Amino acid sequence: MPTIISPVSPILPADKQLAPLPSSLAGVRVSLLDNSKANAGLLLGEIVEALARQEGAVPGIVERKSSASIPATPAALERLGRASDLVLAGTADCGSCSSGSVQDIVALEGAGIPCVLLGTDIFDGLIGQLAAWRGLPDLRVALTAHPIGGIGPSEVVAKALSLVPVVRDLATAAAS
Amino acid sequence: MDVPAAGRNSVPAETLGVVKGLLLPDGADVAVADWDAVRGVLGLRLVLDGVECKDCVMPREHLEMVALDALRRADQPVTAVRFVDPREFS
Repeated sequence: MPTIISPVSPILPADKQLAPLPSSLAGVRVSLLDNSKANAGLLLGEIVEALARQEGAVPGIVERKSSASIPATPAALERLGRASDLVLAGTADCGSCSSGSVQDIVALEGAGIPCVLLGTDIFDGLIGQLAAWRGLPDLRVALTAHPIGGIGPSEVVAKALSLVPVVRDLATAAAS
Repeated sequence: MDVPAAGRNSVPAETLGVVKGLLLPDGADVAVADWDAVRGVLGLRLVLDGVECKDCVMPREHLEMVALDALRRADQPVTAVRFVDPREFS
């Protein structure tokens, strides 16, 4: 089968803008977009609980995807948009789940909801490539050492607690 | 127009390295299936030997688009990337 090559270079997408951040997390509704990867729900839940205790954030809703490798449904994104001032999404600890989560975040940021993606360090480069491809190169990412899945609950909680100040700083305009 | 025969061994190492870097975290790799240096068309075969979670590797359509974008950002002489994905034949 012949390959047809366009003589026109594809145009790189114009960079999109991140949604504005709150100045603090006090009273901010923080929702979760759990992509169903192993330990994602525990990690995200521990972080939002800590943000509530330490910063006065208000836990919002939890949306759980049926598969990590697909984007969230439009209905789920709409519910998150209505119920949230900030969304924590994750986990980005594989290629296909990073791709799905970046796609979700681009949609939410485009709707004015700031997000933080939780992922693991070995996917940092891929997340950056995916974010650039989607036109949001400055996407906010909080990374921990790989892996998140396949470890015990106490290790997940420890990772979550170490990520709390990172997420807080990424999610507040005063610190950014 | 005469098009030179594609070569398997002439893909610039830096070009291949950009694509491998996208797959390495999941333990996947690529092998060159075809390379048309004149038109910049790169054909790759996804190698999943030893990969525990094959679904963790991005699907072919995403790989092709992300790889092309990454190659263009890295100023590599590629205009199209095609993957042969063994998952589609199993």
